[in-house]
Amino acid sequence: MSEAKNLFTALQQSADPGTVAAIEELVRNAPDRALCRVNVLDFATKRGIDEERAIAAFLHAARLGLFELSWNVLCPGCGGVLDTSATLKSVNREEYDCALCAAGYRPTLDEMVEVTFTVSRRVRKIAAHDPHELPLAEYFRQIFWGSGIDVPDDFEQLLEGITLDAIELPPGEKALLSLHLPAEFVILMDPVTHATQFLDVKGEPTRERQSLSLVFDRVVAPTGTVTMHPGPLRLSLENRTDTRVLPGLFIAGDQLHELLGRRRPFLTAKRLLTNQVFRDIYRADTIDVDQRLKITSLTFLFTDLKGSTELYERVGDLVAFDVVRAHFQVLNEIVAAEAGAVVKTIGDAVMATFPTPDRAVSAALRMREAMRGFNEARGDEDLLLKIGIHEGPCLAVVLNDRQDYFGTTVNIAARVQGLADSRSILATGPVVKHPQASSLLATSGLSPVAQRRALRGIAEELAVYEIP
Amino acid sequence: MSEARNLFSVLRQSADPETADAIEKLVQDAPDRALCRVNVLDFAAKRGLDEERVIASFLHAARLGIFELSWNVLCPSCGGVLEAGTTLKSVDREEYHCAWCAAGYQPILDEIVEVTFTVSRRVRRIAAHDPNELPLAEYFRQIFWSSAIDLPEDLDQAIQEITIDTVELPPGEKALLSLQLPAEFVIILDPVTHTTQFLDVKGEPTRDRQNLSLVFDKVRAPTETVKLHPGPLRLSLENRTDTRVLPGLLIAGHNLEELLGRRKPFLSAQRLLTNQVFRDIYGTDTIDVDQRLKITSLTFLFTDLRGSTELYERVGDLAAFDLVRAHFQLLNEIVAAEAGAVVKTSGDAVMATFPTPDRAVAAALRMREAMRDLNDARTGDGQLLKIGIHEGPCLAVVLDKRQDYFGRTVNIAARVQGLADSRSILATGPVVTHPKASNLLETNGLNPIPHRRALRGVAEEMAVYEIP
Repeated sequence: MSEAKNLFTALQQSADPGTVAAIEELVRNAPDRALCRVNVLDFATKRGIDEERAIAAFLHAARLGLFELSWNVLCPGCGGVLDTSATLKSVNREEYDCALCAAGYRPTLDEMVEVTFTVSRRVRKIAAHDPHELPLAEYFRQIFWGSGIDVPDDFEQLLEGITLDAIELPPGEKALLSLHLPAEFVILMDPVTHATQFLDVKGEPTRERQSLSLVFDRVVAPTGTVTMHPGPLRLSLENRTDTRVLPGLFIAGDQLHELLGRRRPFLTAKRLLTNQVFRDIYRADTIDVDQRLKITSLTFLFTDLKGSTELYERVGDLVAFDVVRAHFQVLNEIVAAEAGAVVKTIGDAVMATFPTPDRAVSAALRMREAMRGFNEARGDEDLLLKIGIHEGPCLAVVLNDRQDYFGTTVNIAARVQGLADSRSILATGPVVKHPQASSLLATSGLSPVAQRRALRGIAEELAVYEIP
Repeated sequence: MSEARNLFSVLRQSADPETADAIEKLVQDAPDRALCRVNVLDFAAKRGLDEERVIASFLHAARLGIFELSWNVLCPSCGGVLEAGTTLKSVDREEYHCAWCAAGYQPILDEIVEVTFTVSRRVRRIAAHDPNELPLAEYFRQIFWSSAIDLPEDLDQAIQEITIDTVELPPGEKALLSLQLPAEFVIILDPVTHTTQFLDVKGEPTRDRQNLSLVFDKVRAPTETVKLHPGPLRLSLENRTDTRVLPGLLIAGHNLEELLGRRKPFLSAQRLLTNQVFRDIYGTDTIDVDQRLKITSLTFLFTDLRGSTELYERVGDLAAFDLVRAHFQLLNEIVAAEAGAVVKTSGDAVMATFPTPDRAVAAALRMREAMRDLNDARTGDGQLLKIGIHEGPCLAVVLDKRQDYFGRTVNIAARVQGLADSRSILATGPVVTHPKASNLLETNGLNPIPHRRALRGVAEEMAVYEIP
């Protein structure tokens, strides 16, 4: 562990010491399964650590090689992992199918892609580094399900309770199972290949033996439902893949639904993209040039300095540059503190993203205050910030060697900023009506004033709210 | 030379083959001095090669390690190199002093900083790799003077003609020179330390021995003038540096003036920064975060897509993104072909720089044509480009991890673009009155129409020309 000790010492230099101590404790003492696909938000909650600090610390830990990032495409239905990879670049399919839920989903970065951290092999060896040697219950817990499912500690017992039978089938082998089907909806599924077959067992019980066969192949066959009668079943299974499979028959009753219903927040790809530490560490190397990844909801904040052009005229380019750069510095710090990230600067303008509208509103209020202090310190009153905020769907892309965003939402946010006057913050309906943003405004004693404004190039008129 | 041979076959993959051949021939056959601080514009002119291709090929050759880039701060008056560094980051002083010309200069990127290419040691060993072993004339040619001076082939003889005496002084040593001073303005100069002393020799000839001593030190003493009479001089010299020095007494007459008066175009740092290949290879790693380097003249071109916001609304974000990206691709190619570089994109807008106004005007005309073709191919959708061009002084900086530009000129260029209507190209006075740009417009039968327009935030009203 002396190499690990050095790595943690290095980590202390870039991350919050309390969080680093908690991570070091985890790596040293936690059971193996707590080090596989760590849910950073859950880690923070359980230890009372600030989420942003925990995210930043795990990102630095990954940069140092203590952990490995994993980008997992999730089934929003069952919470299972449909695909996993070390980079977002491999999320390149138009649609992902979940065999268990018999449904296809288009990947969106806020709902369907999670980011987890698994301890690196050379720091601590854990059982999940060889997933094909995990027992069934642990395979479900650590590999099959995403970190959004809150799998209980006594999961093994719970699983036993709903399992009719289960078998481990090595590559190339066949097996015959004889069992008695109860009058339930039964799922025959293998968590390794995700191959699934539904058995709708109902009607008159029978004493005649029913037969069913299932082949596990590289290509997962579409999920089908067969209707059967309660009574004896001869199940023949064949594994034609090159890894072991773990088929089992599970009763799809209340217990299973309750299990799948236990959800907890997880770190989404969207939240990571709009994190300043992540942007600083990974830069443009997140998305491929021809990837266009959908995000359902991202909040955009644009700022522009009113009076800066006059400033250049008055004090000259060199002095103006120093003033503008100092103001960028102030805004950068506020954006990072509110879980956001600066996407780019354009002249004196800043484009930033936030995971939710309330963080953007909070940042805007702090920016306005900070600019007041900034002007006082300079003994000048003429630099005022015009701020616009909008929330909506967008595409995450790479443009001009930079991870950027594209779409109508981005255009509207920029146009709303263009309508802003000195000192006013303009935001759209989705922003001021967002529950947390609206309670933040109420707490600050601010009542947004609605105006109907036409935005150039945008078809309909839009309600724009001025935050006084 | 087999390693070099491999490097050249790699070079042919990224650079123009004819140019790569010419460079390979140079490396193989040219005398040593032709491989030290190559002036690439001169190289292109002498061989009738296209300048842009030559710049691109040398940049690729430097990337492969065939050549090493050198950024040299020049004295604009004598053409000497005041400081040489392997990166622009070392150009970090407010002012550079030329001891010979007894003057200080701000390091302005288009006038004072040149970029040259020296063959790498492992590709071919040349004498200048050990500059402290070069004879005096070659030291002057290869190290002291920049690539902006067109030195004669028989430099050795030319220097001899104006030299009264010269000595090579190893580190720590002293020397005494006895000589006869003619009634001329004489310069004692050591090209290694740049130490200079002027002797204004005039008045009555004397037979009394005059004495003068000069110490070569790490710290350069300010240049002074002493008045002496024609006649005998005992000059004592002492070298307190840790390299050899090469002091000599030169007659500052017509011959010297003629020698220094022959200038040739050189590759300026400004031209390299605004070169697309350079931006692609070196990215942001050109300028330090707190550097702010002055450029006297750079041409800025801004474009924006008219109708794109409506397009997003109509066809959706995904299809709109593909169209906008196709248009970026088109503009990128045109900018690169006109010796320019795309600095950044923002939404549908592009900011590009060019070394001179005529290249920007040529690019704008080609862009307008290309957009017509793109629209024709897509039948009917009215994507029109609004273009604005302005030329003037600016600062080269790093902002938001990107090499960027800052200043009034940039603001005005963006504002001028904002005034543009569909299909019109708007340019300012400095652009349309630039001799080559105005020629180009005339050749195309285009008559710029002046309008007086107020630019928001820019104090005065300004003449803005519409290129129909």
